[in-house]
Amino acid sequence: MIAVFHRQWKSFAHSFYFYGFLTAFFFGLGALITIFHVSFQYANFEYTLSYLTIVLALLLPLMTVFSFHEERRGDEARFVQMLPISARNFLCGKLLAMLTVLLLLTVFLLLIPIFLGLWGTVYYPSAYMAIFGFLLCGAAILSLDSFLALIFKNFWVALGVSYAVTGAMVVISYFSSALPMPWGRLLAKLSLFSTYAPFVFGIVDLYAIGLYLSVSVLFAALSLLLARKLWRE
Amino acid sequence: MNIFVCFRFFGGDFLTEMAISVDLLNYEIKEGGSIKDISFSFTKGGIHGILSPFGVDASLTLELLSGIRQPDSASLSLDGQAVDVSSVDWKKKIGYVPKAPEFYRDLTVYELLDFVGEARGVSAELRLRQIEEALELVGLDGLAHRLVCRLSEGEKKRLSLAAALLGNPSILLFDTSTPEFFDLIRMLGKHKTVILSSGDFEVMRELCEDVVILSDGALLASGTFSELEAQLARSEEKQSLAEVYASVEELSKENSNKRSSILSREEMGR
Repeated sequence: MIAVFHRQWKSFAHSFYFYGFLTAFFFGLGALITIFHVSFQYANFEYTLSYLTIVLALLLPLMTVFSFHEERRGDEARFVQMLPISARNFLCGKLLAMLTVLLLLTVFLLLIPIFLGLWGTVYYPSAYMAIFGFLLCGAAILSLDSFLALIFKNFWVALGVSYAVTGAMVVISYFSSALPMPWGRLLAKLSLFSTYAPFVFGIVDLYAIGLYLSVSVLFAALSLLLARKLWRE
Repeated sequence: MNIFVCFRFFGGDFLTEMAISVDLLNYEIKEGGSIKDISFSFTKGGIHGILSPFGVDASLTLELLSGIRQPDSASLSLDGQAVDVSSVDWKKKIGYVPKAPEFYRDLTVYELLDFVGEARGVSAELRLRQIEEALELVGLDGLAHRLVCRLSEGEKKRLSLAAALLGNPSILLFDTSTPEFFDLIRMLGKHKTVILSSGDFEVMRELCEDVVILSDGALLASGTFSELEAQLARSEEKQSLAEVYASVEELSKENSNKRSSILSREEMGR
């Protein structure tokens, strides 16, 4: 697992996609900070985060699809399958590398409320609860995208489907109220973005935490089943 | 290539495993053809061959033993213990040198071997030493920091051998019979069990103690060359073993080409 983890980090370091991912994330973060905190002069970092989860969701498929498709190409797949690496260790190494990226981005976000506090009053518990929610939401999206990346062999199909699923969840989070009542409510409950709303108001929402953890574990388990099938274990 | 490096590199683990035995190996090729009920065994140490017309079935058999392809059924044992070819334990015991090796393209030679060593569970300190020794052994010591994608095909094969040696596996599966490797294969055969696949009868006779001959997915004969020659002499066949093999090769030419292209397509589709 550690070998795969190290390999994945080297791969990120050599990858155009990864630098694109980081650039777009920090550009998105900078733009949101400029809009909310510089132009509108809001002190609430939670507002920025509620939009940043969408930016993250739009960027994560780039990282997951890139990560998994390296070993879906014939030659690299054969090379890795020659090595004594089980499907479980392969998947855990990959997921851990991507989670570490997410974790490092979250650590960076932890500094921003302190930075904003230099210019005004920031309600820290609420800001940090939103950052915690951001991490959980990111982990759930990462797990879901990893599963989608493993299903489809073609890079562009995997990327397209990941964007379609993410896009659908974003749309549901904004337009669920326009749908017939029970369906709208159910879909809003299942959308990873609608569920983020309580975090914006500094609420410790156990349902949201449960949903994010369940989605993370469920899709990691499904990814493992797929990886085992690909590994023919 | 340095013989002293070879002895130093393999010093500790000299022939710790016993025979490898394969029973009823079966594999159905999706678009047609198969490997049918092949059984054979090799003693520990030495160089053993799997020979088939144009090397197609021999390569496929080696792929099945390496765990790259999953046999439909097989009973494999090492030192009397049953083994699963797709298991991590088995893959730690073998080093596989494929016919056309490919690797991660963005890594340098050293980085790639470091990854392989780490995956094989070699400690960081030992890994550094083994990588240096393996590179020296295969003659790539000057190219440690070259990107893998910039290596020639011959250098890639050497790199593949260096990677196969990391972790000091007791069995080497060698799916290539380029003359530049002959000395190295002979040297390794003194310390490990080397199983070589080829379509070239003369190469097999030159390098191997015993051979398994396959044709159209079935076992044709197995044994040492002298045993096989003696069997032929006892039969009414007045041809030498080489002549009989040449006839088999001629007869299965069309079939072997067909199987080869099917297998390539199957590989690309995976």
